Amino acid sequence: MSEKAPNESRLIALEGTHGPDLAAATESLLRKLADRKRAWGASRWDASNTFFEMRFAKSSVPPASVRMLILLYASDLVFRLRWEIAPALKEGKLVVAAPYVDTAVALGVAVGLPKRWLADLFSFAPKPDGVFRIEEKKKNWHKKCKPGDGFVEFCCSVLANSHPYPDPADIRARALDYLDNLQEKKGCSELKKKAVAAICES
Amino acid sequence: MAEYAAFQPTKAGARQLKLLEARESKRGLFIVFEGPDGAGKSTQKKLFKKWLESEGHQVVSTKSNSSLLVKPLIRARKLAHALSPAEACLMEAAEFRHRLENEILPALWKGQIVLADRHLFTNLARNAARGLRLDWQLNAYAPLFWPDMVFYFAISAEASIDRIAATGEPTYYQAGQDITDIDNPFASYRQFMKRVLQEYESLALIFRFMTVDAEQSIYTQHRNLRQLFRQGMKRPWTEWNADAVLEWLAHKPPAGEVESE
Repeated sequence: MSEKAPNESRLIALEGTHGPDLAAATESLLRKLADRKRAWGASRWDASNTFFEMRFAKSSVPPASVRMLILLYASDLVFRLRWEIAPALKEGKLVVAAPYVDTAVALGVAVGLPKRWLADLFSFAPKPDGVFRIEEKKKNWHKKCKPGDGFVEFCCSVLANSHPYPDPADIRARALDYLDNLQEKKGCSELKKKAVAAICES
Repeated sequence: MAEYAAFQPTKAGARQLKLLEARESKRGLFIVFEGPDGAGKSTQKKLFKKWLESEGHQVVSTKSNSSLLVKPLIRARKLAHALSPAEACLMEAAEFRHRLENEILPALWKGQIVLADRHLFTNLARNAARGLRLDWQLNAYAPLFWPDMVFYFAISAEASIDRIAATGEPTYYQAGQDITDIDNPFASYRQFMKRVLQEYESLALIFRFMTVDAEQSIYTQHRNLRQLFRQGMKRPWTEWNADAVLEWLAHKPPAGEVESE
């Protein structure tokens, strides 16, 4: 967190299906905010350690289904809102939540969960002041998933072992379709230079 | 790109519904024991299990918050007093889903009777008493899985606290100390339990609980259970639980059984 006094609190959601790219985009945005002396806060996936702890379950324990993973993502987001996002907003900071709601919804939709269920589930999350999706590198889609890379990677690594789930590249492609669709409906914008500048000025 | 129609149980076709219809006569019954702490659910469940077994039924038991994947997560957060009502609801819903998919449905599909020491109703009642909206909670548990029978062990807040006091003091969350701000766990439990009992009453109407007076003698309660069981009706899966069962079948088909139907 930076030390500069706040001017106006804002919640910015960064969304994306590739964890390492999302992390890099977040760091880059935070650096720019710091350069401009804007007070910022950040909230990243698995702040509650839920998914990290799940990796230590015995191999004999049946894996989680996608519905379970979405529920646990939502519980992690409640934790992040309570301990990271809300307090930073209260201090007047610009908070970058990466990812926020739409990445999880994109994953849920990608594996066929009902959109209505997902919307109702995440209705607790306050609407962000801006939703941006990162520019994703298509070549990374086919890389083997490492569960610690991000939420989508974690889910793909769990689901890949459960017949008959599709392979990670298919899940990602379908999640990206959802984000493309969201962007077309003006539900999010791409995080391009202009957008970054606008965020930093806000 | 392939379409994953199997993940769309709400659009179940005639073939999938036929599969459930064919299983209806072979599947087991799902019976839930619900009620406040100290109501004697566990004792009655054990007696009832023995009786069912003596009648020739195959019976398995399951207990709320026993999923080996999620229980440790909830336990760690409870010990740290770090669980908000919404987090608790979402983690409990995940815990419930894990047991439903890996314990309850496989046993029912095989024709076993499943006795559950609590289903989702205690979680719903406690979290509603903590101020969470019931409709939002129910959505977290969707698609709902309706039990065939719910035996509700009715007991007053005072009797519940007396019975708990005989074995120790209620835990921080059991006593509702996270919302009452009362230091004395018994005083907190008394206040919290009054709210929880009100929520149980609402749930009893929605989910058609079969009420047992838990302040009667153990044997009288057991006899009542036998009678309620004989009067009880199956809730056909095609009418009540199609979404939940078909979603499970879509990604955890029982080996060698689904295709042969």
